[in-house]
Formats: sequence, structure tokens, C-alpha cells
Amino acid sequence: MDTFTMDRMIIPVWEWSNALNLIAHKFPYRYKDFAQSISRHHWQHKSNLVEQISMINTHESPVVYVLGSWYGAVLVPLLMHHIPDIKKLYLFDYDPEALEICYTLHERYNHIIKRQLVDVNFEIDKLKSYEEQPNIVINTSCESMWNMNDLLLGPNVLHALQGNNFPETSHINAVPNMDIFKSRCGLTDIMYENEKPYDVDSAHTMYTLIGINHE
Amino acid sequence: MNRVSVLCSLWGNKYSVDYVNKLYNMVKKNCPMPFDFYCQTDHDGLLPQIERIDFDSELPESTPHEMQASDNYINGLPRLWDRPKLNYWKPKCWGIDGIKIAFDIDVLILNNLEPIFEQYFAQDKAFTGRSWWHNMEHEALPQWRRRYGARNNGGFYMWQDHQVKGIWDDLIENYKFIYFCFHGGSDNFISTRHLDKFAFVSHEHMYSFNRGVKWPDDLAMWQYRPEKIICVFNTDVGYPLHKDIHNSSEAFPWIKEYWQ
Repeated sequence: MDTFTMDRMIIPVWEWSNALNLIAHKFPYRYKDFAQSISRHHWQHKSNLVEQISMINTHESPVVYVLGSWYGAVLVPLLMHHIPDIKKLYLFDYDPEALEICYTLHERYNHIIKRQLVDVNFEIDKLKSYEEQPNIVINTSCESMWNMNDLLLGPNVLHALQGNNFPETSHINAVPNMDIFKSRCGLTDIMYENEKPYDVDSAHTMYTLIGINHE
Repeated sequence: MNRVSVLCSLWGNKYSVDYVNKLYNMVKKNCPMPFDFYCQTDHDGLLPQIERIDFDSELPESTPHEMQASDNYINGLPRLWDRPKLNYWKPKCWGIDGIKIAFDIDVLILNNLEPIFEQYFAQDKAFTGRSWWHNMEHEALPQWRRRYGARNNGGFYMWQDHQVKGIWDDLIENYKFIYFCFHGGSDNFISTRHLDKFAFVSHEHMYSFNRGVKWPDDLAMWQYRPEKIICVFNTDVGYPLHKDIHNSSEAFPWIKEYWQ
């Protein structure tokens, strides 16, 4: 039992201490990257996404896949808070160091988290072969991946997808508008859609879609 | 005595056959083994000693015509814009077997290639240039990986088919995703998915005219380094301080002495 204040904090930020120590000790060149991962716009877009998922989702004890999970710094605690009965949370990323930091960052949830070193662009069939298939798939970095309509993981799976038009070399699939984002996502039943400024004072846009592909 | 097959490629109108002919002359002067010289091109005007080979078309959308005709563009260039060079990795492509070398057509060969050959034979591994001039602290950053940044310089490759097994299968199986992800060029593809198959030419033998020799202490641009063997002219698009070999040869007479 912690204090009244700590018990009511959605994000146990004091537990980040170990992860920050790990970064300082072993991966000092990543501190800026980690700082970026918890910047305001990530909280804004990801909390909106998870809040919407929690209202739309009808699966009990869902299995959740996160494609391109990075550190999961924002998404993991939000998911655990808003969908507390998650059965298993699979985090897929091609960055082994990010996954190592992620392990320390989310120690309290490690009993239900399974991390996989995967480049989703090239190994989607590997994900499709897993015995435990997802009820919910989240991809908050569609701009860095191949079109989601080729990466969808089965019918009746709730897909929550975000992409943007922010110009950056790693954004190999930036989308100019919502219509194109929809066409690249391939969801046949869209339950939520939204476009918001990418960041405060940003001229760029974050596109969000939540829905199902019935085909 | 073993022969070596030297390959290069020319397409589009940025470069002319003159580049290929000059490359041939530099190889002839500096290759320590008997060699056959091939150019994958549809241009006329090659020296008679150069065998013209067609653009192989097994790899989908890889010929210059197919590449230009596709709508798969980013930043004004086809994604993975140097696809014809990917044919080098097809086993026995054009019926060519044995030891192969591929040069970009805008390299300079300053000295005899023998030390590089010796290094290659000693390691029994495919060989390429390493971008020793890169800021290695930048290369370690997650952003580098995220944008599939290159670590090798494909101005020079040396290999035998058995040493690069798997590259061609990867291309045939995943070409759609490979073109899409590695829009910077084939070096990004090799660096991200197959770099473990390669050893690297020493920085004592290879340098970049526009970037220097080795980070962090020897990054002087536009230097004449007569002790080196290969000089590459890799440029950043739109960066005015980076000079291509043609413009450099106008400004630096020593280049003309080699490039003829």
C-alpha cells in the first residue's frame, strides 16, 4: 500500500527511475529518444486512442498486439489503466535496445507482457502464425510502416491505427489526408475517426482510425 | 590463373558512357588479376573491351523503364532508386560466375587494387566499403536504425555468389517491402538486412572525396590522398559543398590525371 496520492496516479512514474538509470548507465545516447517518446503530443494522441478503444472494445480479457511499440512508455500504462483485464499484451518492435528499456520500464506488468523483436514490415506472417491471436491491434506509427491493409491481423479484430503527415526520413508512409489514410488502412467498418494537430502549433496532422476489417 | 568479373551499371541521362569507359581504363591500369568488364546498360558508345549486358528483369520493377514507370516515388525519386544494381546479387546473373567486383561508375581508382584483393582473399567474405567517415555516435542512435540508415558504401563490392547467399532470395520474396522501406537506395537495404555477410575495405584504402576518411579526426573534404586506392564521390542531394566527380575534375586537376 502506497500513499493516497500514489495509489491514485495512473502512471507510476517513480517506477521509471530504474529505466532512466538503465538508460543513463547503458544507453546514454538514447536519452533524447526516450524524452521524445514521452513528449506532450504522444500523451495527447495515445491517451485519446486508448480512451476510445476502451469504450469501443467488447472483448473480455482481450489479447492486445502493439506493432512498433518503441518503449511503450505511454501506451502500456494507459492500456493497463483503461483496459485492466488485458489477458496478454504483445509488444513488437525491431529495436532490441528499446525492448530492453521497455522491460525495465514496465516491470510491474511484465507478467502479462510478451516482447518480440520483429520488423513488422517484413515479418507480419510471423505474427499471423502465433497461436495466441489478438482481439485488439494497435499501431500508432503507421507512417513508418507498409500500408496497414496488407498487415491487418484477421477479421473481427479491432484495429486502432494512427498515422501522420509529418515529414521525416523515417516516415516512409506519411499520409497527406484522411481519405488516403483510410484507403491504406483497409478497415471496412470504421467505428471512430479523428484528425488533430500533430503537436501544439503544428501545421501537420495526426490521423486516427479505429475499426474492423470484416473481409 | 583466376579471372575476375568487373561489373557496373549505367542508366538514365545523369551519367554518360564516358564514365564507364574511364572506369574501364582505371581498372585496366590497376587490376592485379586478368578481368572481364561488363556494363549493365542500354547505352551505346562503350569501349569494345567492355561487354554490354542487358538489364536483368527477374526482379520485378527493377529495370530502369519499369522503375520510372511505377508510381512508387518519394522525394522526386523512385523508391530504392538504384534497383538495377540489385541484380548483382542474383547468382550467376548474366551467366557470370566466380569472383565479382562491382564499382559505381563515379569512383576514382588511384592505385593498384592488389592490397584490397589480398584483404578480400584473406577474409574469405564478401567485401564492401564501410562509411568510416560517418559520425559513429550518430550511427548508434535509434533514429539511424529507424530510418534504415546505411553503414556501408556500395561504390565498391567484391564477392562470390556463395558469400552473399540469401540476398537474392530476400529480394525476390520481399521486393515490394524492400523498395518501400529502403527508399534511400540499395546501400540502406544491404546495411539493414545483410551487412553480416560483408567484411569492410580498410579506411587505409578507401575514402570519400566529400566526407573524408575516418570519423572523428580525418574528415577533410576535397583532399588529394595519393596513398589511397579508391575514392568515392557520394553526395547529399542539394548540399552545395558536395561535388560530383565531373565538377570536381574541373576544379581539381589531379582528378583528371586519374579519371581518363
